[in-house]
Amino acid sequence: MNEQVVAGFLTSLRRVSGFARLYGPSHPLSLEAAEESAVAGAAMSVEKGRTHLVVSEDSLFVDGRVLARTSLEFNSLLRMMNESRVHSVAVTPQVTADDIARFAALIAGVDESFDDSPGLSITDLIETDVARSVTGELRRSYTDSLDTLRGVGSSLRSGKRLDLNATADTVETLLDKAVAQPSAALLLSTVKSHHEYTFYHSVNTCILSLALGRMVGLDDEALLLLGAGALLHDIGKLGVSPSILSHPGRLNAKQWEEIRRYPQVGAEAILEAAEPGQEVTAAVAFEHHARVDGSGYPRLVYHDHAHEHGGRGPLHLFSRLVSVADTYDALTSRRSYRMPDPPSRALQIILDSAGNGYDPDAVHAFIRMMGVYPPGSFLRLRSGLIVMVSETTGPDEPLKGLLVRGSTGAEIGVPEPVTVMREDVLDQLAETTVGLEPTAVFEAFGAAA
Amino acid sequence: MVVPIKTGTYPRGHTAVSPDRQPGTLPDAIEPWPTGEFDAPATGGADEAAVDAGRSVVEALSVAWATFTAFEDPRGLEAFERAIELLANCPWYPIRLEIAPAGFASRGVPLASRREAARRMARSTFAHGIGGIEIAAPPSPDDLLHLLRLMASPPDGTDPSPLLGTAGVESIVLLHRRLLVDEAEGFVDDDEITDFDVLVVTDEDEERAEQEPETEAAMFMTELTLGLSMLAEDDHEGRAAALHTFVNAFSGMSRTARAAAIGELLRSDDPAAEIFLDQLGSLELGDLASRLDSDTHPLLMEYARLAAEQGEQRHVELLGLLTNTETGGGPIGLVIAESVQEALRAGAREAPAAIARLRDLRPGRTSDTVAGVNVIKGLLAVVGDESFFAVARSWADKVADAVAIGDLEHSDSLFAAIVGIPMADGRQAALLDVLGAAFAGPALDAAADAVAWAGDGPGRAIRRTAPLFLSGPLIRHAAANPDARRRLAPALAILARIRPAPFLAHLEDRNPLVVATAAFALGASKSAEVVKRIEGLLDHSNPTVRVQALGTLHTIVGDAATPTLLEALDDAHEKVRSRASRILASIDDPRIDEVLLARLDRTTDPAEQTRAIDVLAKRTSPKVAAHLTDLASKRFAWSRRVRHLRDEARRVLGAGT
Repeated sequence: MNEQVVAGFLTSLRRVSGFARLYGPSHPLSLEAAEESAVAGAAMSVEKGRTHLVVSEDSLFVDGRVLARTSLEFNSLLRMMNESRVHSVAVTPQVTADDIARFAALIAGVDESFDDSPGLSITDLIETDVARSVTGELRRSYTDSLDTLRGVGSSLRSGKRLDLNATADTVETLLDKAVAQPSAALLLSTVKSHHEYTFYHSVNTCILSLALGRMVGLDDEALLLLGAGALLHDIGKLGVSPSILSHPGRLNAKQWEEIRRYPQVGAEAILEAAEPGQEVTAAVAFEHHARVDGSGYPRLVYHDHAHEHGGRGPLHLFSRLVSVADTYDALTSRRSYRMPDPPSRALQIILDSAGNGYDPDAVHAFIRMMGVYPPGSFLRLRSGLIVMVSETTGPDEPLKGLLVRGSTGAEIGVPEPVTVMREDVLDQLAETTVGLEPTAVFEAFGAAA
Repeated sequence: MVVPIKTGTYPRGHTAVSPDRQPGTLPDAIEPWPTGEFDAPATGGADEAAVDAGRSVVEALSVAWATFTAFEDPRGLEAFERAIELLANCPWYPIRLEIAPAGFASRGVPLASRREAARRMARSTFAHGIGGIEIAAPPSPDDLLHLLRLMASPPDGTDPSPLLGTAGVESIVLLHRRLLVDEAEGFVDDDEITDFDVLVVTDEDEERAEQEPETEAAMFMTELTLGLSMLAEDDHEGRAAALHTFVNAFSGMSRTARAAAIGELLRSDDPAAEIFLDQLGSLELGDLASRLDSDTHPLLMEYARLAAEQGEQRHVELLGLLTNTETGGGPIGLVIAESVQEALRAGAREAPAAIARLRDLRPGRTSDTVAGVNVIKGLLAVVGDESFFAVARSWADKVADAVAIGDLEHSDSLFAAIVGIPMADGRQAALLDVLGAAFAGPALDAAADAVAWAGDGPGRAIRRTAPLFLSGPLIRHAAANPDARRRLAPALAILARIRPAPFLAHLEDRNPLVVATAAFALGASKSAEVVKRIEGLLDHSNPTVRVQALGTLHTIVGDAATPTLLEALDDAHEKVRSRASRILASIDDPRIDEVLLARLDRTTDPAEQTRAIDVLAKRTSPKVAAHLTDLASKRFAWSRRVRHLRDEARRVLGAGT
């Protein structure tokens, strides 16, 4: 089962449910979207004649196999299905636009009932449909982090004080799971969501920052502060008008001015809630766009004495680490105003700005942590084999990966661990080219282990 | 392959109105459906008359719409009445208008209007799934208002066509697009089925597009502009999702077609084109730049220049675009890729030393405290007025909390955060007000006592106790205890300089020591009001207060206090006269010499003589020295007065003179 095809169907389904809520289920736009979703659903099911989607808590299983990244990317859609008590649904190539429209209306809460049809039917959940997932606990802490952020966002919008202790608890759990599975954590940090970009981006930045913090030897207490700062670094965006955040074209001067206020909005909210010693969390929100040379925003009134700090400027260590992680995740994400950069290009962009935009030591440490080919990268070897990088190694050390396709292009049933010399690498391939999803590969390898 | 956005397929013709037709149902006769582009010219003859009539109707509806958006019930307003009149003056009925997101049309001819209201009304109507409006008879004001209310309401998925009829409106009919779609009669499935507001792509079209990149690019452009215009302004998710769809579609086109599309995008004035161009990364644009024709290439460079001027965040991307434009893809692209990899490897090799240096930046709690303080400093410096109070309150609460738990070092740092931040007087006063409010309460007394006896040097005492001085207890504490006053004196001075108001209030206190302490602290202030108030203390009944007032006055105004000091030499209390003398001795003003010498000659009081000589002894002018010498050298002093002067002069000049 091609996870991208499933993701394509879920994307269209989410769009239909969104339009159903916004315009009504029988609006022309809703119906058009349902048409496209029906096409996607049919394409998804044509290979086996029937696709069985199972939602168990926050995991999506297809034909008995967990789709880890899709589960995270469509966390909110899966949640809608859970709340509508839809745990198992079968889709066949006979699915029609009407089936999709009615189903979308159900999960959007517009309708309360659904009549099964040959193309789409809601089935009973069977225990054997749900397999063990090697990244289950890590993903659970990922979704818990999303929930924490949603709660923080809700508090911010309603003017209530943030709960930093709850944030710290969430970070602690995420840290524990990430330490237990560091490579899987880095793979999960590649999950993107346009739907709730700020939240997913914040969790990814947190994961990357924690990994970077561990690399530079921070103790547990420091890691918690760092993680909380990373998780909340963009929380001020919830105070910015959504029309500006989602603006697809270039921003005018006034729009930029409002965008640039969000670090101080976030810092204010965190500062109000911070207990003594936690104020450094606010520093991350405040400083992460300031740049080490002081040319960023907001303008730091305390940045004029750089020479007193050995030329580094007064930005806190945590701010330096988070700004690198933040930029990397942003560059590798697709936004309404830009296409994503591939990982190596993103690292290059950050490296080019080391010294003025970013702390050069933080940049070098980050590159070392991610590697020239970060975990999840697909490489074609000179022999024609296709390998997925599974963990980071030193710049001059052989690569460690999982063999996923043979020289003929045939998929390897259970990925095999391999060691690859750098000179054997021919080029780097996009996921769409390979047709595989990194966390799925990881799951397949882990399930067989 | 282009993925078209199908908004629906329409029959070749649409139907004319029948008087017996019910609103919302299909008419009987078939008339030609509009064809051609939106800006196609009028066809002439009867069509031309119909188009002219249509323009009048659009004008009337626009006026009515604009009035309706300003007034909930525009009936009776002049503009609305004019719209009704325009509609009543149409040459015939019925008059039909077709509706697209971009505006109205009549018989396929777009009815351009200079009024923005026309476009907005069309868009709102289209969002309801309405394909046409028919004015069957001159509408009444009530009829027109019903129509406007219906069109302004948010679409809820229901067919609004029957609603006018339900409301009793017969002069206006709405034609739902879906109903027109469902009409089997007249439906012709061939290449000629087109509509100005929808793109129907048949298999033949797609096949032709693959062979003709320009056609594919043109179709893409049409779909892009139509697709984005169909969405509501505030449908951010929809617009973003639509953009992604188009980006995916674009990516699926052949390279030649993509290059042609980029050329179209760069030439287009439509905002949708610019929005879409911004989606493409520099690599994409650069990769295709080599395929652009010579006319388009300058447009791309102009686009890059404009984008660079828009915002710094695109600078790196645009560098990449220009680089890729110059080098193109192919072998050079591979060389660039290898160069990138090597740069990254080099960066990774720097990591061990980098990590060691980063570890040194983590000394512990101190740096975290500094960071927190910096944030407060930074926020106070940049936030607007509304946020300022919120930040000030946060800061004040933290200071109070820190003092309450005895963490004076932390309260130290927090208070020091605001010192030195340039801010308007109003803001500074507001900040201290907030701080004062945070410290209100009986717990302050105990804290004040503990702080005053902290046992540290004056420097730390200043910082630690400063926040507490804004309330009265610590001033009283200092006034009551000489040792505490000594310890706290420097801090008092700092606070009085920042905000003298509380100290001025204490000048009225019944306790003279409090008054004196406040007067002492106010020596750090230079305000005219303080000077005036201190001068008022020179008549205080308590000599201690008068003594302090002299000292404070001299501190503030310097030598300008000389006349007052000279007058104080006649004060009833010896302490005051003594203080005045000491201060005068330090003032380098020859007029003082003249006054003192005159006093010396005039007075008969031995004590005053002694004081005067003591002061004069400290003066440095030659005239004074000569006078004292002369006094001391008198061999025969017949009067007691002269003898006393001689003896005192000899005393101050040294024995044996």
